[in-house]
Amino acid sequence: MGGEITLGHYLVLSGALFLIGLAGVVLRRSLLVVMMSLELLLNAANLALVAVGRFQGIPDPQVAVFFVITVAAAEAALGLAILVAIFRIKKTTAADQMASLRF
Amino acid sequence: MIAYSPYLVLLLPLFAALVIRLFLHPFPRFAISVSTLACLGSFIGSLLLLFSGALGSTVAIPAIPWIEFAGLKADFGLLMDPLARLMATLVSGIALLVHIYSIGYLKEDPHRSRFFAELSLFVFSMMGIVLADNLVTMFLFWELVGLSSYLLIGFWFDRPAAGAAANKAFLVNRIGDFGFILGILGVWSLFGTVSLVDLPSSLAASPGGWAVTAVGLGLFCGCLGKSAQFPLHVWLPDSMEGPTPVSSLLHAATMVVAGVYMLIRVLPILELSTVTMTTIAWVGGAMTLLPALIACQQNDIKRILAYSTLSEIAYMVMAVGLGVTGPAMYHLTMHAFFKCLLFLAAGSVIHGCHEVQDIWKMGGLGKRMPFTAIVTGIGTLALCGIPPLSGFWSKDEIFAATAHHPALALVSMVAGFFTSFFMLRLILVAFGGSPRSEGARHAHEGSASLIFPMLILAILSVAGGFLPVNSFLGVAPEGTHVSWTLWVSLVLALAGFVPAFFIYRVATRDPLSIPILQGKFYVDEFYNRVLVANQDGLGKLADAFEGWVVRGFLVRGSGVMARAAGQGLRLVQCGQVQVYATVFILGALSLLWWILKSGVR
Repeated sequence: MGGEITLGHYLVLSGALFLIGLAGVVLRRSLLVVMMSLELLLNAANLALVAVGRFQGIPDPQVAVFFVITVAAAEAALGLAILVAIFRIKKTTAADQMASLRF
Repeated sequence: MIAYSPYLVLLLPLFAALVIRLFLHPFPRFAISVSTLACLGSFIGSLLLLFSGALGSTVAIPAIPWIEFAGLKADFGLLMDPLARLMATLVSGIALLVHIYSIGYLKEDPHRSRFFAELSLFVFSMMGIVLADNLVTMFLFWELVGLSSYLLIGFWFDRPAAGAAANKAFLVNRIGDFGFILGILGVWSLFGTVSLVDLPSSLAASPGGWAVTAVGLGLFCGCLGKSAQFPLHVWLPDSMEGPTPVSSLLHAATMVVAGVYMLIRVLPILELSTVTMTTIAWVGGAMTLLPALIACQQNDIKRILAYSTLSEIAYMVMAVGLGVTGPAMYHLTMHAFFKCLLFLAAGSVIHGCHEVQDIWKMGGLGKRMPFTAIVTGIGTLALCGIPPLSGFWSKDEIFAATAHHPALALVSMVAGFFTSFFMLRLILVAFGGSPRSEGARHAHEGSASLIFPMLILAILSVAGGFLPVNSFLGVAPEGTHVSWTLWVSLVLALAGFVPAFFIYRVATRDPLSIPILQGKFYVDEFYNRVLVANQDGLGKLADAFEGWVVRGFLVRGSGVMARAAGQGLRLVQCGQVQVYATVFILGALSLLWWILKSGVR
């Protein structure tokens, strides 16, 4: 424990980020923040992948990260577009108002 | 090809039925012509066959391969032995006369095309029974006859009674046919063949014992149904709801004697078991008397004749049971003549009286319908076995066969007494006295097409006894005339006329009232109470089971279950995306936990 940063540190950080993201997704009302939290989830995963790739000396996880980033970009674009469309109709971004498909 | 020409005898009526059914329904005139001509063709063909080759020989006709699989071989062939040729001639001849009669009888009926189509179908089916060379084919035609009987009884199906009678006939016959088919299966399993040609030679390997008895009784069961013998006789009186030509052809002259014909066909099997033969003889013996008693208290002219038919067929059945087929066949032929005649005369009366069937509403018809009265008299004398008319000769041979069975002789001769009684009652009440209804007052003779068949049949009833039936059959006359049976039966038959004459000479309503005879020994009531009620109870039980358990619990229950589950589960769908996410996360976590846990182990 001589101040050196190990894989464990990265993974703990990644886990913490993931939990923060989860909490955001589950607890926050605003859909905008929920989407930001989703990005956090993805980036937590990215961090874990990059760290593992670096410490194991293999490139494969880093390749996966590129895919994740691409997907995240697409998701953000699509999600934001849907959000804008919903906002135009509902005049709100509160998640608990989005329940019209319920029985 | 010429060898197959006898098939025409069988197939012409079928052809007629099909053509009428498919094309000629709107054209009654053509339908009648086609049907009658087909029947005429059949009759001429049968006559040619009857006289082809030496009398008493069998004409060989190539068979058409039909059913053939492991152990069962049933070709579609015609068995042209003397018995079949005589019977075919009789059936097609009587059918031809009834065709002619029907032309006049149903002149006004708008559905007479259908009638003639069904009549042709019947002739086809009946010829099939007669000519069948194996039991499987015979059963096929047996059922076809049942069908055409059903159709013809229910010809006026808009009358509820006719529909009910048709159903009754069909259902009661099912019971008999069930026994018949069991009998056929038994024959197949015991003797390995269903061919009537091969049967006699394969009987040597008979195992004997109860199996043979059971098979014989099974076959007899078929006869019980079709020939309306006790306990399956209940359908025949009801079948009188059909048009009178039908009663005459099917339910007197030809179809109902199919059972007797079948018994004669399978006689070698029946003879293997004394029990079977005794049963047949005694059922026949008892059935000569019981319907004759019932007929004494019936008022419907056709029903009286129907009960008399039961009684006469019973004579034939008894003769078969006694092992004498010659007299049975002889009586069958004679009975066809005079019973057909009596029914046609009854039809003429009903026609002339404008649908009056109750003899107590007739009266005085002797003056208004002299021809019908005379032929009825001839038919009656023939039926009662008064010499030298046809019935005398055949009944005498049957009585002679009972000479060594005094009990049977007594029963059947007493039946003759009552036959004379109720026939004279019918004549005196219907034809004597003065008219007792508007219909009888305006009674009149029918057209030539009604008269002609009666005339022919009257001649046959008078002179039929001189037809060389035995030489047609190729058998020596078995009637070694026994004098005491001859005299006792004759005296009893004549004696029957005496009380009838004194009781009914001037009666305007029945002076006798015997409830048990009016109630036909309550057999119908017994069946209704015991069998039908139990069946209904069983049916209700099955219906309740089906309604509550199958339909209510299983079918509807499973639907209700699915619906209730859906109702419950859709409460989970709250629409809150974050709740879904939470559930998803919890699910993912528990999956993770499970994987890790089992990974550790």
